[in-house]
Amino acid sequence: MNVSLNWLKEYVNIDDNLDIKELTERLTMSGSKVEKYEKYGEKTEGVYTGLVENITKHPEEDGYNIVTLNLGDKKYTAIAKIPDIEVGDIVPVALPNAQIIGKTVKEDVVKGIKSECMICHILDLGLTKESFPIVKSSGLISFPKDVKIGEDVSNLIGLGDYIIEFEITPNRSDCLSVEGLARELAVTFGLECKQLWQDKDLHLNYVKDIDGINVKIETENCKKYVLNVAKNVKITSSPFEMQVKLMKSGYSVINNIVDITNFVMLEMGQPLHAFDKDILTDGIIVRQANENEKIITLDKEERILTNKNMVIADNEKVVAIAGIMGGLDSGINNNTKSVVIEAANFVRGSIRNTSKKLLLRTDASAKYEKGLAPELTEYAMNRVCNLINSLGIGDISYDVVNVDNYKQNEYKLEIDYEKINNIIGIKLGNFEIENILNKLNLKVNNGVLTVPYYREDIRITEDLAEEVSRIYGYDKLPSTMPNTDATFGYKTDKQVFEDKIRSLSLSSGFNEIYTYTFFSLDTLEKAISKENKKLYNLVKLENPLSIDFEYMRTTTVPHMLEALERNNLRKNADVKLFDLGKVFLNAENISKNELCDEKLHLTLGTYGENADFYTLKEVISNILDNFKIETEVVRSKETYLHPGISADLLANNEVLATMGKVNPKVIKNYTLPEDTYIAILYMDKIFANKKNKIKYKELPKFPAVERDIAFIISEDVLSGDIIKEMKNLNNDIVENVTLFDVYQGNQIDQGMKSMAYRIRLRSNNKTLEENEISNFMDNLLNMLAIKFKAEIRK
Amino acid sequence: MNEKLKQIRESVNLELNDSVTVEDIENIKVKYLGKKGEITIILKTLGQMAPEDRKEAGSLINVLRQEVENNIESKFRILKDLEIEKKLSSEKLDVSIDKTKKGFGNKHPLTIVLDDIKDIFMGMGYSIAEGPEIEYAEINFDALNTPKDHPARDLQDTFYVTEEIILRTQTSPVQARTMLKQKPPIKIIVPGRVYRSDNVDATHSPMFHQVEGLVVDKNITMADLKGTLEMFAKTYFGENTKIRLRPHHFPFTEPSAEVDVSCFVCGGVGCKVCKGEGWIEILGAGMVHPNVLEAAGIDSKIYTGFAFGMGLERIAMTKFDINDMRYLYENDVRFLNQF
Repeated sequence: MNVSLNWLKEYVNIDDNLDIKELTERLTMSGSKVEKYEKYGEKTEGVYTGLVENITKHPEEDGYNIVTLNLGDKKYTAIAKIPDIEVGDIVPVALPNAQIIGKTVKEDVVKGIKSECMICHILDLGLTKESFPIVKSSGLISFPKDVKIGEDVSNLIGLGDYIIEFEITPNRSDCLSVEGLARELAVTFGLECKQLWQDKDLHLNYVKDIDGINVKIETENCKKYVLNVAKNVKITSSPFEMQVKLMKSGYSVINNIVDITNFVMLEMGQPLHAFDKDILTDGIIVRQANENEKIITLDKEERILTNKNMVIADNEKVVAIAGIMGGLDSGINNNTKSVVIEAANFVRGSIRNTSKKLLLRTDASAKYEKGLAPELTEYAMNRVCNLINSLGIGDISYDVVNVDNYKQNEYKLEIDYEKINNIIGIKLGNFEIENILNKLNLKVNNGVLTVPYYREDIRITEDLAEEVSRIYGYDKLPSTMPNTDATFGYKTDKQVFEDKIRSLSLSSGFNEIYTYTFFSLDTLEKAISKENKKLYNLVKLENPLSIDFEYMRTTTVPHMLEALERNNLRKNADVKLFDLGKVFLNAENISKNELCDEKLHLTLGTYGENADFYTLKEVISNILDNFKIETEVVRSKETYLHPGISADLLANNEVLATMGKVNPKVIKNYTLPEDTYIAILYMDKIFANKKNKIKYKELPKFPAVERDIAFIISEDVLSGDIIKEMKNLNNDIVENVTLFDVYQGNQIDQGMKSMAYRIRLRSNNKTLEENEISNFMDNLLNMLAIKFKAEIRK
Repeated sequence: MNEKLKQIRESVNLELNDSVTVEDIENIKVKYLGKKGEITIILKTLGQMAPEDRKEAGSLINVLRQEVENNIESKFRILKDLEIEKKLSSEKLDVSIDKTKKGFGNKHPLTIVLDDIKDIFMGMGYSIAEGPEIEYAEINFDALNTPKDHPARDLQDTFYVTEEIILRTQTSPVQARTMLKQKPPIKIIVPGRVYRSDNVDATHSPMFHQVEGLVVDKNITMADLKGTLEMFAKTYFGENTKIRLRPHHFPFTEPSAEVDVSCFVCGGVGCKVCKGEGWIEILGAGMVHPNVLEAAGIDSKIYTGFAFGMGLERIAMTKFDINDMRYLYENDVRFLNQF
């Protein structure tokens, strides 16, 4: 909402010397947030309105005219090159020694003819065609005929005024008006807010119909409809004073009737609509539109409506989309004789939905969306009638149609002084509280407060606490700490676990990344084969930003590959990334109106030097070791991984982690090195399997012996299985088995590999004797030969 | 005998004098004191002596042996020190060389900011609450005093899965969930991902992160909110940080405020980071609306509370002077390695 400071000053006697920065800051601090302010024009001295009485061509200088100007007391001659100047124009004239934008105007001589004064260009006044649209194409201001000659132009336009842009919060629709902001300005500075006119002056009667126009409200979305008719109207331009206010507020100047409706909307915040009475066939019906009902609106667009949209209609046709925009056919034009003026109140949600659906947002709809007080309609109608009357534009009816569709009640609230203080944390006396409330027009009588109709945001004690605290000053509030019973600041086991996982990933050299939790079907298909039905069971958004953000992700693989790819395309070498984020599973729950399952996944991805299967596996093993989880390793069946170079790590038959080289069939969809590796750790499974209790085991008392063995075995046999069997052979004495060499190559048959292990044997209750050791080793070799067809190397 | 001992003494001293390495000393030690060393051999001859001579000879030999041992030891120390000195002066590495880096990874800037915030509030007795990102509209909106015709519920701002299920637009539904299952005193912070239908640009993202705080108990005041946020701001942004509360409106709080911190770059004078204002807006806050308490089954006649919320992206961007939000989600290691 843009408001001229001069306009506000008509209501409140603000010191002219008060710095604009301080003024706007104080308004912000009392709750009327100033977004920004801009100067409107530059003050001039010695510039007056002058009537162009005669124009003759300069005899010697082509394009120049000798212009005779009447400034009331005296006539002046100006030599000017203004192609579109005409006799009868009232223009700004700078007399000698006039001050305009830091320069002094002097008399001039143009080819022998004296120019006694200067006709100002719009830019000389610090204005532009945008800020002051009623200007000729040359940039000459031609004032409307109601402007007197010899007037000081600076005062007339209010040059050097400030246009203040306010951000009005949705609870304060009353501040979407000059009057509302003037009230706030007054209370901020502890000054009086003047009442500029009295709505009792007119003595209007409220009736059900006038002039054969009756109003029927057939929808719950209209709360009140006030209507009047002005006959014998003379459509012309509005007074210049009103035009200036409209221009300063960013409005176009159209004609006296339309300008009055806009002016009153600015002044009071009530949208008004004026339309040509002669196009109405009968009374007014406020109703929901029929399906596919059409209207061409003032902006010359055809709008197709549904029963969700509310319209103003007569018996035959729609004349306006209620609260948003009028129809083109019913607009005011120069031939309009009688005008119907509407001041109505509509339910905010209805206006907002229609406005959104039709992509049609107007100043009126923006106000209605916030929710306006129904009482405002009568107040604004009075003001419109007052203006039409006083400006002599037409004959208003003193009977006004006023149809209610809501229960009007004055709101009263008992003041809980103690609670107000308790909420804020201060100790104001009753008198101080009442004093603040009174300044806000919240009249207190015996501890009971009467809320003015325009403050629908005040209903409970907390609302009063806000009013009192903001006027008292948030900056004056003390700073205290909550006086609660001791609370314990802690992280849950799960949160501690997640932090730990993050630290372990970081200490393994992986950089943390953040990725979007939505993706597109294309993104998913690039990484995951459609056979994986579980990952294609997707939560779909009803209104995604675009197809790129259409589904909630069921897997982190695509985003990890994309992050790696982005780094690869940017020639970043040796990349290691991890992402700790959610995936969204079991989308079918949504159809039962239940939430889906949100699972946290740790995803690791890497390419470049040191990126290989075993390095990545070591990272994962270290993480699992940290939580004392022992896992079994099997080949992974995930299709996005290389079938021969991938593994699932299991505990209690659940997959805790999946890892491996990315399948070349997937890699080909990206710009990524063939040696790209990825791992997913299923956080909930790891959390469930982690050992929470650690119990110290006494250190061994007896010596260990180590034996090395080497054998040739089929390459299909997994070392993990071999180690497991070795240990199982005698759990009491096999303390540890480590693989220390694997060889495949020339000296070994194809399909075979040579494996070398070091076995550490130890008993807990005695020193092992030589024959026990050799017995065990014999058994071991036997077992290897039988179970794995191992061929022992001697 | 005496002559023999004297001769040994002299030759030991001579040889020690001539020795230059630790090995020389070792050799002398073996030659005289070893199993077959000269002094050891003489000692062995004691048994063949007459008992009356034995005592005196034994004592003489032992004196000699003690003396030789001492001399060898002191010479050994001298030479050992010399050897270390020599080693120290000869061994030198180019310490400026970096071998291939296998260092630590870096926390994402958003995690850095969040971890710091968590630490501060945990120190003040807040625990950490979390909740689902796909949420019921009823909990995201209705429970937070945002009825159906409120502008915040617009199709434009919220991602809908169905009419009843949405992507949460704020972390506040976790407040409601917490109050439903926990009795006051409640002191929590709620970090998490949230979603709004904003196109991706330098300052917007359809997914971003918030941290909210909630305190509910008897006698909680707006002044407590101010004090708490001041404590937070001073701890997080520096001891000299000031805060400023400006009146505002949120449906779930009454009274409500927007909160600025004095610019931690210029200290409030005005600079590029604070756009000349001297203040940076980082928080929304207020006293929990009684409708919110009641909807969560907490008696608003007995309890009051305050809540505050901030956007992590905004804080990270201001703190690290990041001028485009998209960098936070691009995951370029050249960016990540800076944190």
